[in-house]
Amino acid sequence: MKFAERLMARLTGRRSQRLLGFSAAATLAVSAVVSLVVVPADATQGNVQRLMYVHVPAAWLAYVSFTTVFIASIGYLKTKQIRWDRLAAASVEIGVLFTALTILLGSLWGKPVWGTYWTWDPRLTTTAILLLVYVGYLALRQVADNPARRARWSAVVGIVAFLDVPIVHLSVVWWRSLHQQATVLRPGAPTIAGSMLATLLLSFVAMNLLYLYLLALRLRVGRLEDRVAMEALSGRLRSGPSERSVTSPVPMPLDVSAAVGTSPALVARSAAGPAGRQ
Amino acid sequence: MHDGMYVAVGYLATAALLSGYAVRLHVRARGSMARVTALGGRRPRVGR
Repeated sequence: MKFAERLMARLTGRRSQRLLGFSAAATLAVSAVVSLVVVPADATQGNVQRLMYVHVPAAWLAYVSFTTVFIASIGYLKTKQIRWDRLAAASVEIGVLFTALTILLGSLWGKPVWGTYWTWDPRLTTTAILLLVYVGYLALRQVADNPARRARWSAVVGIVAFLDVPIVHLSVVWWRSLHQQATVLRPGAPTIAGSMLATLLLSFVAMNLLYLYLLALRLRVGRLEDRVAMEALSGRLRSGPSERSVTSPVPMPLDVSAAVGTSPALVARSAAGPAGRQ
Repeated sequence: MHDGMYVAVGYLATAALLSGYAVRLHVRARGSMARVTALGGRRPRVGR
């Protein structure tokens, strides 16, 4: 846990974030050129197969995102530290984005190859359920009024919802499915041509860098939003209830302490002024 | 629709979705930073 916390702090540093952004942009550009121009088209499917160089890494990153949510949820329930909840909230947003992208790209591939954009195939259906479950997770975060309660509920949902991830991955093995079996994440050697595998791996590297960049950025946003709420709270504590509307130059939620999940330590730190803050 | 069109739509949609999300995060970060400063706090340092 300590290692993960140190890694998170390092990842969200300004320099790491810039480095991640530039390397993600560069590898994505190279990967796009290689997958669209350099690598030959598939002998059977033709050019449509090129969508796989984005579809497969997007599906992989959806798994990675929701695994991160799972680990962060356990981390929160174990330590009660809000940074774990922040990590889960950040990763779930990115996971939902990648799941939606996976479905969209799969549909675009399905029309010319299967003859339909959508069919109630086990892999497609379980992926749609995965998307709905995590959209529900995001909705739940909006509903809970108390941050500690929100973090606890979200952690429980983050752990339970993760059950669908192995179901999605193994659905093509467990049930008769139109969707093809795994070609890379499977026991034994990958069943894919060398040049296509190399292109796919390049896409994996590019998309993983992008995931880390987006995660670092989203964690920074989460921390800044908590800081806004804390500053508003410290302003209220300094000025007292009667001057609240005069001293606060920007509109704030009525109950700021609820918005930040005020603990006695946080209140004390906020009231201490700049020296007492991070 | 021609095969190449599916590929073009897929790649363009991916680029739009991911870059749109990144821009939105940057806007949120800038907005929060401005609000912290407006509330009298120090300009936040990141990475802590």
